[in-house]
Amino acid sequence: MNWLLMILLITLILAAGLLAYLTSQLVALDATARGLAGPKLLAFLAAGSQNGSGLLAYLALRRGHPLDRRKDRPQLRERLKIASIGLFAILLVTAICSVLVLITGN
Amino acid sequence: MIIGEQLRQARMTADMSQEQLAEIMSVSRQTISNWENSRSYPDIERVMRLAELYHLSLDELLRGDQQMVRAWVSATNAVRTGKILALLLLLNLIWTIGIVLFSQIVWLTVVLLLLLVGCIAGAFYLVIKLI
Repeated sequence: MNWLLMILLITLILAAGLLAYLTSQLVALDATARGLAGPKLLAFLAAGSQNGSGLLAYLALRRGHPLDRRKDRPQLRERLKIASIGLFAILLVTAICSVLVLITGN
Repeated sequence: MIIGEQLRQARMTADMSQEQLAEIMSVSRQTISNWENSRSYPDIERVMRLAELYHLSLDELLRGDQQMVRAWVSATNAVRTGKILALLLLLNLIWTIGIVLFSQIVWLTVVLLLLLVGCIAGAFYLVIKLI
């Protein structure tokens, strides 16, 4: 069972890293489209939080900054959203499988 | 004709500057410029005030600008999504408290854990949808 657990853990770590990267790209795209200062820093802070509080804080911060359609990239935005949701699903399934392997292994 | 063009024309007809209109509408001059260049849209309350100010009907202002109507629908959906997100976050808190309180009852803990995972997944989906 060790090899299975190792594969699951590696998948978990890769999925988590990629998810953080894609989420930061999405936040950077949105911050640029709304004319917020320091979009990359905002993206790093928003996506880098452990429990999603950064994303919620970003949603509160961006209120009062309407979207500028000239700076927006709707197709890229959609692709990033779909990829983020997909990776989150992979993360969730991998985490559940890891727990099940640990429980059955015991 | 799109609303931005109509607003600019109506303002010119009323012989008003962007600064004057901004003061009346309680927004910045940049916001007025954004509206007139279709970079952003006024909300429905402000559209009604503009229609009243320029003596135009809402039908005249809105007809032909489906993009603005879609933006309003999207904004309304965003408000509803935000409320559902708040509810899911509250449920997360309740399930977490439940797990702490009933940790000795195994089956209940497992059920609450599954509910917590479901709520977290739902909350993440909604946050990504809102961005």
